Amino acid sequence: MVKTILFVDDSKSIRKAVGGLLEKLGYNVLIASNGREGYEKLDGTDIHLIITDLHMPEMNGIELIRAARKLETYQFIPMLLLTTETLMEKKREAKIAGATGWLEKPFKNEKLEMIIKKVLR
Amino acid sequence: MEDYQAAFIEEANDFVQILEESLLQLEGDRQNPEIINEIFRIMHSLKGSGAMFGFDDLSSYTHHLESLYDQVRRGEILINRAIIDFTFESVDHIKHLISFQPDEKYIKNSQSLIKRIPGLLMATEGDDKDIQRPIKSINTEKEAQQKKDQKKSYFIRFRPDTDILKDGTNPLYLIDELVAMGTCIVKARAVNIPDFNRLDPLDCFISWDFVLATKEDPSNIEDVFIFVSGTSEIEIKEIADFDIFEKDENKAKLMALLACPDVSSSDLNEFSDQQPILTRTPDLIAEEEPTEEAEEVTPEIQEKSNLSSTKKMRVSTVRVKAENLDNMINLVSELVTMQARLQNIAQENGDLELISFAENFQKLSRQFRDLSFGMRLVPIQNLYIKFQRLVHDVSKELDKDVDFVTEGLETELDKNVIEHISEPILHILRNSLDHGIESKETRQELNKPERATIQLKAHYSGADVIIQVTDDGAGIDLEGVRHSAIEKGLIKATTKLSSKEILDLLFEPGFSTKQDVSNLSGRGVGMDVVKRKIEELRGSVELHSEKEKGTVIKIRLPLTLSMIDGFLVKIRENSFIIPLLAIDKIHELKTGQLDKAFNHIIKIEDEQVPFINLMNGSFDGFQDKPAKYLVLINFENKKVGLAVNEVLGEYQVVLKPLGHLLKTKDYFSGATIMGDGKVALVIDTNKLIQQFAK
Repeated sequence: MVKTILFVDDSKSIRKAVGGLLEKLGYNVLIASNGREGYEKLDGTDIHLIITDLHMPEMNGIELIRAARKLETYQFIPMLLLTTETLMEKKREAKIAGATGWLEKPFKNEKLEMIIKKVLR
Repeated sequence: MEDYQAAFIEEANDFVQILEESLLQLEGDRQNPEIINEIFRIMHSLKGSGAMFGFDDLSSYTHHLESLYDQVRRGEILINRAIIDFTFESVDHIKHLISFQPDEKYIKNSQSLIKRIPGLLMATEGDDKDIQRPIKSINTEKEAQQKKDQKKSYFIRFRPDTDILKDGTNPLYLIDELVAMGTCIVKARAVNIPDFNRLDPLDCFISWDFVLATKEDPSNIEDVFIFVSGTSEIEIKEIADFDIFEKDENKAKLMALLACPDVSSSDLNEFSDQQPILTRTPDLIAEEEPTEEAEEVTPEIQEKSNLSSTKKMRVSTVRVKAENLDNMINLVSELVTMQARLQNIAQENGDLELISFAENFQKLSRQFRDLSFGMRLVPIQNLYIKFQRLVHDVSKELDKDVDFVTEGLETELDKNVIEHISEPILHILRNSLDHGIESKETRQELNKPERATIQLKAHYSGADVIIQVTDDGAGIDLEGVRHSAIEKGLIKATTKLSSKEILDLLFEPGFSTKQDVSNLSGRGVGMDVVKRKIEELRGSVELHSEKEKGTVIKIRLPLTLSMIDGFLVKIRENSFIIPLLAIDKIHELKTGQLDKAFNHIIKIEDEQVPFINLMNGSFDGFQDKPAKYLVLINFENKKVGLAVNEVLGEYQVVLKPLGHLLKTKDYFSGATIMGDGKVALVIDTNKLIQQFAK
C-alpha cells in the first residue's frame, strides 16, 4: 500500500522540493502551508506520517503536533518536526508535544529518506 | 535541489518585500507582536530554505537576524530605532545575497554587519556551533573510515519509556535498524507487566537486550535511538573488539546468557578475554530461575524436533467409527455451551480468579472444539477419483475430448458435507459433459479448441467453501429455457424476465420432467434436486452462463455444520450471531450518520459501502431505532455493512436447527443457546444480503 505523508511548511520552495522528493520516493504526499491548514487535512483521511516545519504563521509545528495527537485517528502515527535548531531544548519541547522525532534543516535527500525509514514502513 | 533554486529566489524576493512592508509597519507600531513574529518567521524561513538550496551566506546571515528577532519576540530586548535601521540595512544586504553569487565584497559586508549586532543587544550569544559542526563530522567520518573494516561487538540494552508508543514511535523499527547493522541477537524482556485489569494497553512494558557485531561506528548505533534517547534508558557497551559471532558456539552461549533475566553488560565482558567458559551455564540458569522467557524458548525447540521426527515417521492413523465422531462433536457442543454459561457467571460475579479461570477454560474448549472438528474435516481430493472417473467414462461414451482440470482440492470440508456434496457435483459434471460441451465437429466450426475443458475449483471464502465447476461449452440458451418454461406453464408467455431470472428457472422443481431424461441427463434436469441438496447443507448454488463461451456453477458451502466462531451483536434487546469469519471490520457510527446516507450507501474510510439497517422496522417488524455500529461483512469481494445496536464480542456458537416457524426466514442459519439460557439467532450474512439486495 502506498503510504501517505502530510508535509507542512510555509516555504513554497521547500514544499516543492521536499514534496517532489517524497513523491519520488514513492509516497503519496499531502501538502499544507501552515499548521492550521495542516490540521484541516486531518479529517479522517489515511495519513501515515506527518512532517512539519516548526515556525509557521497561524499555527506552528509544535502546536500542530500537539493538536494532531489529540485526534483519535492520528494518535499513534509518527510525526516529525523540521527544525533549524540544534538545541536539545526545542527537541525536548517537541518530544513533550508528542513528536516522534525531528529533522534538522538543512538536510540532504538521503538524510530525509533515512529518517522516514526510521519511523515508517 | 538545484532545480528548485529559481523557485527559491522568487520566493525569497517575495519574503523581502513582505519584510520591507513589515518593517515600515513596525516603525509606527513597535510593540506589535504579530509584526515581530512575522519578521522572525521570514528570517527563519530564509535561513532554513537558503541552506537547503545552497545559499549558505544568506542562511548564515539571516541566522543572526533570526536570533536577534527571537530575543525581541521573547521580550528580552525592545525594538528601537537602531534595530529598525539595522534591519533595513540588512534587507538591502539580503537582496544582494539572493540575487548574486557569493562575492568577497558581500561576505565582508556580512561580517561587518554582523559585528554590529552585539551593539544592538547585550545578550546575543556568538553562535559558532554551526560552523564547528561540519568540521567535527568530517573528523568522525575519517575515524569511521579507519575502523570500517573491523567488526566490533556491542551489548545494547533498550528500555523504552512506558509512554513510547504514544508519540508514534514504533520500537520494532528501531530493532530492525539495529539488526540490519550486522549480526545481531535480540532478547525481548516482558517483566514488570502489571496485572491484566491494571494494564494500560497503550503503555509499553517490554524492553530489549541485543548483542550486535557490526562495522558501524558506535555513534551510528547511538543514532538509532536518537529520537528516544531523552526518554528511554539506553546502554551501549563494547564487549569485544572482534566479531563475537565468528565462533558458532558463542552464539548459543550468548542466547543462554541473554535468556537470564538479570544479565548485565559486565556479564558479557568475558568474551573480550576470549574465555570460553561463562560464569553461568545455560543448564544452570534454567534450573535456577525458570523464567517466563525461558519457558517461551523451550516449547519452540521441542516443536521443531517434533516436526523433524514426524517427517521421518510414517503417519499412523486409527480408524474410528463415524458415529463416535458425531457423538464427540455433540459432547463438545455441550461443553462449549457450559463454558459460555461459566463465563457469564464469572463476569457477573466479578471475581478476578474466577474470570481468569473461565478464560482459560474458554481457550481450552476452543482448542478442543477445533481439534475435534479437524478430525471430521476431509479434503475434497477424496472425491477426485469419483469425478475423474465420471468425466473419463462419459466423455468416451459421447465421443468428446475433455480435459478435467482441478484446483484447490486440498480444501477441506466436514465429513458430512463431503458425503452429501458428491452426488450434486457428479450431476453437474454430467450435465456439463452431456449438454454443455459441444460435439467435436461443432467445436471445430466455432473455432474452439478441439479439447474441451471442465474445471473444478475449490477455495475458502470467509466462513464458507466455494466449489466452482466451469466448462467452456455451449452455454445456456436463454431463449430455449424461456420457451421451455412457457410450455411447462412455469411462466406466462407475456412475462418479462431478466437473464438471471431465466437462469433461476433451471432450479425450479417443475422445470424438468421425467420425459426430458435422456441417457444421461438433460441440461437443467434435476437441477432442482441439486439445489435442494445443497441447501440442506446450508449452502447455496448459483449459475452463470454465456452463450457459446460456457457455464459456471458456483456452490457455496459452510465449513462446518454444527459449530462456528460467532460475533455477538444486539438488535434492539435481542442477541444475534454473525459468523466471525464473515466480518471484516466493525465501525462505530455517529449519531444520525445513517439517516443522512443516500440510497443505503455510506462512506467509510474513503470507500462507498452499501448497508442494511437491521435496526429498521422492516427487518423484524418493530419500530425503527438508531443504530450505533456498522458491522462490515465480506460479501463477494465487496463490503456490505450491517447496522446494529450494540456489539458484544466473540462467541463460540453451537448451531441448533431452527423450528418450522422460522423456516421462511432463510437468512437465519440456526440458533444457539447463550450462557444465560437465552436464544440467539445466527445470521447467514450471504442470504441476508442477497435477500435485502432484492
